Amino acid sequence: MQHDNIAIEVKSLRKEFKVSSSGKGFLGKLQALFHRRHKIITAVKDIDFKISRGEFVGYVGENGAGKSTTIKMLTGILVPTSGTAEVNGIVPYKNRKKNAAKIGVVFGQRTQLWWDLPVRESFDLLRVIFRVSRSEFDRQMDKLEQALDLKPLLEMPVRKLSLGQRMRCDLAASLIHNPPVLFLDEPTIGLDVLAKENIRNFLAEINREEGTTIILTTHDMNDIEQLCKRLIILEEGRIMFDGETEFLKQKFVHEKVIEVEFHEDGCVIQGIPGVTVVREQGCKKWLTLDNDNSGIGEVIGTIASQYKIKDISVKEPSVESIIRNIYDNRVRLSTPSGKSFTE
Amino acid sequence: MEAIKIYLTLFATSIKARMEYKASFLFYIFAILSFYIGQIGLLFVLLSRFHQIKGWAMGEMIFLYSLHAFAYGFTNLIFSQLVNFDKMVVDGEFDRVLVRPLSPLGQVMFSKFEVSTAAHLIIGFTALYYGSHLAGIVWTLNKALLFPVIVGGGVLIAGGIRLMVTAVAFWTLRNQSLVHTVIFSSKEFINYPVNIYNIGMQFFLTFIFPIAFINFYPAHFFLDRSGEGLLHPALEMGTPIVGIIVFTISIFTWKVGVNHYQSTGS
Amino acid sequence: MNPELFLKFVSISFQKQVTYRFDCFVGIVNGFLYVFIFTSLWTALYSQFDATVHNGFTLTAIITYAVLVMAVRISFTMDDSIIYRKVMDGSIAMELIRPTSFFFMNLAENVGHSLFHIMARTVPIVIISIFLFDISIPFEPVRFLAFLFSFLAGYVLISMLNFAAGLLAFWFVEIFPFMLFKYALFTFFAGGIVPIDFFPEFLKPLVNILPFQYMLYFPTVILTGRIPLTEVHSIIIAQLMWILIMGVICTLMWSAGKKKLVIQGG
Repeated sequence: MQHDNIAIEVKSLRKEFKVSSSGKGFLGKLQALFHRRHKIITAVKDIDFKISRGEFVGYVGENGAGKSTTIKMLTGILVPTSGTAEVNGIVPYKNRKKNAAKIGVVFGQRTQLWWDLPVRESFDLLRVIFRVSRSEFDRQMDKLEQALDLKPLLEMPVRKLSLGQRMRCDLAASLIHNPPVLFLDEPTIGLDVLAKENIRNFLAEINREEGTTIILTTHDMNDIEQLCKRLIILEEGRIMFDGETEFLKQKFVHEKVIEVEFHEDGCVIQGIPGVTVVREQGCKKWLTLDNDNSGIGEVIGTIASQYKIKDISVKEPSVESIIRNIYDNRVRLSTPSGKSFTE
Repeated sequence: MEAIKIYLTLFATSIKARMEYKASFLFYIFAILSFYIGQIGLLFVLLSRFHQIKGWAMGEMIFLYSLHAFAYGFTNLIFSQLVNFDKMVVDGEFDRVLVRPLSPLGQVMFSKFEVSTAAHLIIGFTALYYGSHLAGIVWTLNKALLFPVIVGGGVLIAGGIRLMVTAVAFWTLRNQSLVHTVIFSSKEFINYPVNIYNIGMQFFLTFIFPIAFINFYPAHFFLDRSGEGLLHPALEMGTPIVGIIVFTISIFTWKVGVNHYQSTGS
Repeated sequence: MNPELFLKFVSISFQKQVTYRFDCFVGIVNGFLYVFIFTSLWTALYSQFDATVHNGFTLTAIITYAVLVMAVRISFTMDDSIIYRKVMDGSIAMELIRPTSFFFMNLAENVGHSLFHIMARTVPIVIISIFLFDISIPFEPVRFLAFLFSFLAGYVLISMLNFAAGLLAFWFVEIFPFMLFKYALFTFFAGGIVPIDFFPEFLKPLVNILPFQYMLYFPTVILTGRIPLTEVHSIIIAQLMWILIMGVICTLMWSAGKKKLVIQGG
């Protein structure tokens, strides 16, 4: 391989699906028995990116944006329609088994453990499946047991674990063969705050200590803010942002958000230059300033003189609100989009 | 062979998982036995009135049954998880299979342990004993050596058919009714000697859906019967060859199915 | 339970079935497979004798029976794992807070299921069979009405049997063995394959104290004309008595199950 420090390289990767639509309602269903319509949808549209070893990348987008499809192509589950992908220098959809031996995969909604067996049995079986030697296994397990506090869980059958406990075990299971690349599909879904925090700490640790490259898809923006230095945002199969999470925040941080709660509904804010209403909800409105020229104090003053205000506050945008902003307003970012910062 | 060791471990694990529900184990076997006893009971009811079915009396019928029970018993043991395979595809469990460095078929086959085999073997041995006795089979060394070969061929036929129909799930997703028809309902055909059917159906059960090779044709060899129906002496020994052909085709179908899955997803 | 709600549930359950057109087609093949096997079997059995009547059945009469009993049986198709799944995933608790009778809701679901199978399977199979086989059904409107009544009574009986069997899930982790056992008893004693008339004398008392013959055998023989119209009422009365007995059993089991649910949380 030419670039030893590249973990994943994706070039004009594309995936099309043929989907059939079945009718709605009684008659529609009956009709669909005899005739079915098909259409082609493109889930992933010629995307490019490179991920270096040791990166922690957030891979986000709304449902149907193409996140899972990309992950499935990188793990060898799906074969792309066109384009190429390499993981650890291996083409996953051509060398599925070889690739599988060098990646870890966690699907948040489905366990890879044997439902009826004690956790330890599952680990032992995975050791055999991934052909890990006994000594390596013992060393790795020692680490995982400690980091994830698995000791009390090992003898329990998987079906009796709570969701958070199960996720800890699932994470350990995906790391038994100490893979250089780890794919996580919604690993914190459905977990409580404490369990999420535990998982995040652990992920940060293996990324830091082991240098494991981690690709994380999630809907929880706290995961992203706390873990992912780099963020790739997908929209309708295309990459609309690829860059440092910090950059995204910086870009928006001077665009402070003013949250105003009015006394009465239906106030129309107009005539204040440089102010945009980004969101409305009942008596609440969220405003941003288009540029720095008009000071925040001035704007607040203007509003306060014109309307009856119940509450007002100035906020730094969270990554979540930034991303929602991007989706809602289709803000185009003038960033080195599509290019990795690590290049 | 490291792969074999891995599959054996996988299989041992699925047995352990099944044993988590020990209590139902015996009752399950009892229920399966009752089902087959009911079937044989109906055969008894019919034969006590009609004495024979196209030249097959109770002893011969029971012998047919024994070949059948052995073949399906071992098929259930090896190919059991295939029955619910469509669920694996629909639920996305098959994705999990694909991210492991092992053959998908091996993983699917050994992921479940089917206890019904025990019941089938009980039926098989009992039927073999009484069938031989009633039909007056003369057991030669030849016959004794060929019996397991014929059963093995039957397993390849039944297992191959099972694998093929399972692979259909890659295209249709839900295929329980097809699985049910082809795996379970079709067994009913060979509960009776195949020569009771019209010539078209005999042809179908011989050359297209060759389950007649599981019991009807080889039974002629063990019972020293002469030809009837479509029977050509060569067909008596056809079971292992037909088994290999069916199984080869089924592996091919499965591979095409996996490729289809990898290009379309679920 | 109010009729409108009942119909709503019937309709929903019906629509769930329609979703898979592939299954529809396979369902017809599956049903016809049994019709074909048993008509072939009877034809073979009858061809061995000069006598044309056996146990009161001419060949035409027994073929008619074989086709119709299968038609009735297919019409009775219902998903007997619904209750089991509800108990396993805990959604059974929802039934306690619904202001509707669980039994009738379950019945509505079954009716929707069955209506679909009547439309998509029974009707096509009967039509094909009429063309292929020598079938004779006496055309008497009163008889048809009596059949309809007996058919519905048989349907309610089977629903109750499945309901009771499903409720066993409250006490057992796995109920598949029970279902298999139920199926074995049903296949043998309901006359689904061999009419009760052919059973040897020593089995008759057992047949008579079990409810199974009222589920398939009697509705079918009322339609084929084997039962004189003057005797029909006594059969329907017996069916209603069995409904009463099964009703009591179902009610007792359901309240015991509810108690267990409330006390132990399932």
